[in-house]
Amino acid sequence: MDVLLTQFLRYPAIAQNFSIKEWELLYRQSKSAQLTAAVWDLLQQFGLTDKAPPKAVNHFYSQTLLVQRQNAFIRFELEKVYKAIGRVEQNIILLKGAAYLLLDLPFAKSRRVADIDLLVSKSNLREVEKELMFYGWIKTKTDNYDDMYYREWMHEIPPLKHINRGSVLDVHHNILPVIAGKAPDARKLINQSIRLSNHPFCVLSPADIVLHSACHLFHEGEFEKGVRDLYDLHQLFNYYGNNEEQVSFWDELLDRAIDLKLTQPLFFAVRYSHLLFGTRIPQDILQKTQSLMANKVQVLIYDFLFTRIFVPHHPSTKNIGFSIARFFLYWRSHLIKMPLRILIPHLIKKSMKGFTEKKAKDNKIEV
Amino acid sequence: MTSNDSDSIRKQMQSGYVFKNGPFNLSLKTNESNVLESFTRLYPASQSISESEFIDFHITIQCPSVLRRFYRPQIQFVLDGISPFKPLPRHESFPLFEWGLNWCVATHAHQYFMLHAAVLEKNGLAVIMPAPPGSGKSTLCAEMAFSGWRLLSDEFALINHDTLTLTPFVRPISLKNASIDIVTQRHSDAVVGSIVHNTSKGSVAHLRPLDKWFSRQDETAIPKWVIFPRYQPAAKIATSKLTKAHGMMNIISNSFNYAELGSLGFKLAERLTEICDFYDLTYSNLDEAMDFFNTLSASAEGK
Repeated sequence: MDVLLTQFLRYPAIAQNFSIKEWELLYRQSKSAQLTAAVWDLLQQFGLTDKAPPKAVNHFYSQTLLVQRQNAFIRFELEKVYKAIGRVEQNIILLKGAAYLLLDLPFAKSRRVADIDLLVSKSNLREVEKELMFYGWIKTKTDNYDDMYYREWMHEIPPLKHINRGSVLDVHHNILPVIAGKAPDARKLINQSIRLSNHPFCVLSPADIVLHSACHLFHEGEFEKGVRDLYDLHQLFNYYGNNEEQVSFWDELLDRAIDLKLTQPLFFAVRYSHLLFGTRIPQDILQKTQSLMANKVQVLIYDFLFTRIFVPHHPSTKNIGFSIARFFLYWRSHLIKMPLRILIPHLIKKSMKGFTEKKAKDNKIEV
Repeated sequence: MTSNDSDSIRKQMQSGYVFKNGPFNLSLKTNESNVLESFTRLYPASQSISESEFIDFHITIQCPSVLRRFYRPQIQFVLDGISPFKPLPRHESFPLFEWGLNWCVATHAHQYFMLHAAVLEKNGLAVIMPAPPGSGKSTLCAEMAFSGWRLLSDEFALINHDTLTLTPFVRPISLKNASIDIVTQRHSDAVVGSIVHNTSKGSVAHLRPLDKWFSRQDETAIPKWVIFPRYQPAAKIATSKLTKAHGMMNIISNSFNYAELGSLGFKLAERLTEICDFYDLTYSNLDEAMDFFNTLSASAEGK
């Protein structure tokens, strides 16, 4: 794999000898992977910022500024979320970015949090949704089919968007789609959750944080943020795996994965994080997770696909191998998300809608 | 531009023509004849740079699909593989390039405090003119840029965080509707691109700035006056000095990145307010307006 961005993330010191054009490519690839602020953070850690040409510095500075602004906004919105639902839900569990942010994990300050992901117990879901609506968070997908799709089959309700401030909440009651039959018992996750000392929220246990991040990435069908998400895992492994207060982390992680039947995503997480970023993973964890995989051929196929998909989705990296991997991984995600008896009608319904309705590209700006 | 130059630029645009514009290096790739024609008419060939430079923005103007080349032809703006806008009708391809480039700068160049404003300079001191569409800002800006004031920008005040100096970003001036005729009638030497009708802003044509303004793009200027112009048909010229508080609020509301800069944005608006004088200007006659600007400039010289 000779992608500049991932090489740099693995060996930041190579920036020492970058040409102007390599700096440009590093910026462009990191931007498309949403890792500009992380790259700048690494350059600072390695004392390499003065090697960067002024134009690169400007871009990294600008993008880092935007990440800081967005994360300050997310912190503000979290206060509002607590105000809205703190009364009806005692244990609001933050997931992913929002959790990393309030846990003050070292990499969180240079990681952009787009949406707020929450986990609440299923029995409180109605009440939570009602209160959020009262405080201005409204359903964005108003279509009945979409609504049913989320509520019956998925692990979250349709995204809620604040009518004035635009923040988006994804309210979960599980970490995997329930229809797939692979979702763990959410009560197990909630029981192990940890209350933050300086904020009125909870987070998952370290092992569950990692497993959720792995589930999320390896059940996805679109890998636009794939490198970023795998880099999250690399950072989580670094943080919890080398922490003196968490000496038993790796054993707990493996036991937990077996208990929740999530050994496959864990295998992928340790394997590809190690392959791409050289993450320090204990040898026995690499071996044990691999031995739980069904067979060697499967591993070879996955290696072929994942090593090609974990690149910045940027014009400079796209090639035929990438397109093949994207095609198969896209279909894999659908097949593992729901059984065929539901998937086929779902896809037909979706494609019919595509013909009858003008597809609204709502994230595009009108000039 | 000689026909040799423009042929060479057309050829390079097939794979990406690289050029410097203000403080930015750009690559523009397109096959669209409208863009090729307008570009070679409105930008000087002297801005061409080497491909080994750091390119800030990789821009492509292309049809969104083969179908859209023929059926209700459309055109889209692509920044380094990402298409941020809805496509436009194909005949709007050149304005799309100009507007798209504005968007690139406004959403990326936070090393500057950016105001949506025209900027012109005389004797090293600059007038900043922020104004909403329809206020006659571009017409005034064009008039000044052809009457002895140096053009820095028609759309962007790029303010340095440390020194507060203004960096030039010389681009074709976007004239709308009636102002297209006004400017070409007053200045026989004005070069204007083809008029594009029925855009979201009405009829649009771009005016080529004098080549000397392009060639002085490395010379910064010091902000001195902030003028809020308002065109009012048949009105006699009226000017009034604004309080600093009022001026600062207006700076903030005309900024592209006040919010993004956080507390730094507030400090920059405050520092800029301290060194500037603020005026409201109501006018209908361009000669009267020019007298006002020239008197301002002369008064600073006298001190």
